This record gives sequence, structure tokens and C-alpha cells, in this order.
Amino acid sequence: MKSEHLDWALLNDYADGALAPLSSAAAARHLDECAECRETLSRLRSVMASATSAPRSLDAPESAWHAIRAEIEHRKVVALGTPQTGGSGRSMFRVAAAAVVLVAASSLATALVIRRGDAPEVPIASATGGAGVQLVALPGAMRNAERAYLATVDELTAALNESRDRLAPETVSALERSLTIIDQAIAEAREALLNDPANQMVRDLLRKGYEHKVDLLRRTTARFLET
Amino acid sequence: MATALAPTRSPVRMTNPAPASPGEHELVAQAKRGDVGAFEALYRATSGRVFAVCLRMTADRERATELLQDVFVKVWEKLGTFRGESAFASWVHRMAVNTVLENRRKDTRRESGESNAAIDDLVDGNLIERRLDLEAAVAKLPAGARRAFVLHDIEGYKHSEIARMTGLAEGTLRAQLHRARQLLMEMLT
Repeated sequence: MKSEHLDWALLNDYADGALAPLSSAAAARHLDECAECRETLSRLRSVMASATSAPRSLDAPESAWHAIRAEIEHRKVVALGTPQTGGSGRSMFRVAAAAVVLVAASSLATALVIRRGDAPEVPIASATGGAGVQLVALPGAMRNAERAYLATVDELTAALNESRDRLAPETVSALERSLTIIDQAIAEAREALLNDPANQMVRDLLRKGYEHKVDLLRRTTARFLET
Repeated sequence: MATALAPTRSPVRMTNPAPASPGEHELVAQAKRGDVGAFEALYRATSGRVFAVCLRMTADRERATELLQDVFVKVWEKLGTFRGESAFASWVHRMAVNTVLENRRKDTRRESGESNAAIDDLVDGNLIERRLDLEAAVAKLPAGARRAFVLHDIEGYKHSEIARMTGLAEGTLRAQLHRARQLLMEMLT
């Protein structure tokens, strides 16, 4: 220790106060005599001080809360998703059969439209479930994909609306809150995409938003039909 | 899985071990009853610290955001198990560290590749900027060294605690920490 510099691990343990008293005293004696080791220790302590003074908290993206809220509202809906009344067996069977066909048809239509990319020129406003809002068309391939998602959403929404009086009010309320939140996230992603059409991350966000909405509607329908 | 412990080393870094405050207790009670507004207030109070550990551990903003979301969905799901014996923030922080470590275990192969690339960059002296701020420098560390530095030097966990959380030997973690400090010293000083 007299002639050689302190080992890096030893220097770290010294800085951490992790050495036994005798070893620590020996290291201190060496440091008194060795300017190079003192300089290394000073730089090491500077790094450690940077860590200690680093902010404990960093601003989280605002979009994260929207996603969390949508997910927990989604889970509340699925947990609550029980019919208010039983209804007749024949009626339930009719709704079940219609919804199964609807979901299958929607999936097929979605797959076909996305694969072929030749969707009919359906005005987007007509595919928004009667919201009456004329959306600015998205660029390129996203336009057809959005039409397919909207068509699926409309069909599932219609199926749920048909059975709305059979759903518990709290289920309907929770579902509507979730859809509002998801729609808000979709609208934000959509606006961002219109401003930055080449942004793949925003495209993915928009796609996930629509997938989330379709999934929520499908799971709610399926849960309703199970009971 | 190993149990995570609250940080106990540095007073500055240490998570407040006090039980939940009355206001916090009420918010938690409301959230347990399904009040999303109360849960949002809890989220607003604790998400910054969770995001910090997620971002520093992953060095990937998009992945950190996903993990932040995973953590708070888990928190929502497990609210019923929170009994207020510790501060809510400490409970959430433990869940965040465990979630990040679980994610890290799943990504072991990818992580190994990243580590090698990062080490090669440093050994070859290919870093364009020698002086970087701490966050950028930490992001450039190999994954194992980054984990040790973030948990030990920034979050204030002891080696023994990190060893329990990760299943790694203390000697391994100590070596990773020393490696991290060495690389950071080269980048920052």
C-alpha cells in the first residue's frame, strides 16, 4: 500500500465506509501520502454526490395517466359486467347468436380491409357511431385501417345498445366512462398523427387506442353473453 | 420471488417509513372503494418517483412509461392488500422496483446484448461527449451496472437488500456498482 496505488474496489469500500477500522486507517494513511489516489477519491466522491443529489422524482408523461385510467375503468367494467335481469332464454340466445356473428363478421371485415387496403369510401363521420363529428381523414394506410376499426366499433356498439336495458346501470356507466377516456386518448393520438404523419410511435398509440376500444367492447359483450 | 425492502441506507434517499398520513389514508380508503379520482390523487403524488426509477433502470423512456402504467395498474389491483403500516409511497415504490426487476429478468438475453454493446463503446473510447449530465451518463451504463448504481447510490438500497430483490450475490452487485462508478467517473469528471 505504501508504494502502490489503492485498489479500485478498496477505494470504493473506503468511500462507502465499508472497510474494517484497521483497513480504513491504512487507506487513510496512504491517501495522506498519495496525491493521485486523493484525486481519484475526489472524482469518485463527486460521482457519488451526483447520485445523492439526483432528483428523486421525474415528470411522468401525462399520457400515462390516461392509459392507466382507461385500463382500470376497463377492469371495473369487466368485473361489473353482469346483466341486470336474466331475460328469456330464447331472447338471450338470439342476442348471443347475433353478437357472435357480428364479432366474427367485424373481425373478417377488419382483416379484409386492412389486408386489401381497398375499403369503400365510407364517410368517416358515418362510422363514428352517430357522434356527428366529421373527422379529418388520416393520411395513407392509416385511413383504411381507421375505417375498419370504426366499422367494427359501430357494429359492437350497436349490439351492446340493443342489449343495453339488460345491463346493470353501473355497468353501463362504467363502460361509458371507459369509452370516453379511450376516445380522448384516440383523439389526442389522432391529432398528433395529423401533425406528424410519419411518427411511428404516434401511429402505434392510435392503433393501440382503437384496439383497446374494440377489445373493451368485445370483452363486455362476451362477458354479458356468458351470464 | 425475493421480497423487496424499503431503502434504508442514505437519509436523503430513504423512503419515508412512517405510516400513511390521515389524508393519504382517506384517499386510499376511497380508492379501495373504486374512486378513480382518489386514485388519481395518489398517482399524482407518487408517479414521479416511480417514473424516475423506471426510467433510470431501463434507460428507455417508452419502456419506462409502459412500466409506470403496469405498476399503477398493479397498485390499483392490489389496493386491498395495503394496510397502511407504511407510507403509501413506500409501498408503491417497492412494487415499482419489483416490477422493473421482473421485467429485467424477462429481458435477460436482450439486456446482455445491450450491456456488451455499451461496454464496447466505452472501452473503444467511442463516446463523442465526455461530459454528460448524470441522467444521460447513467443511461449509457451496461444494464447490470446501471441497476446496481440506481438502486444503491440513487435509491439508497443496501447491497444485501438488492441481493434479496435480484437473487444475485452481494459480491456481484458490489462489482457492478464499482464498474458503474468507474464508467460514470470517466464520463462525468
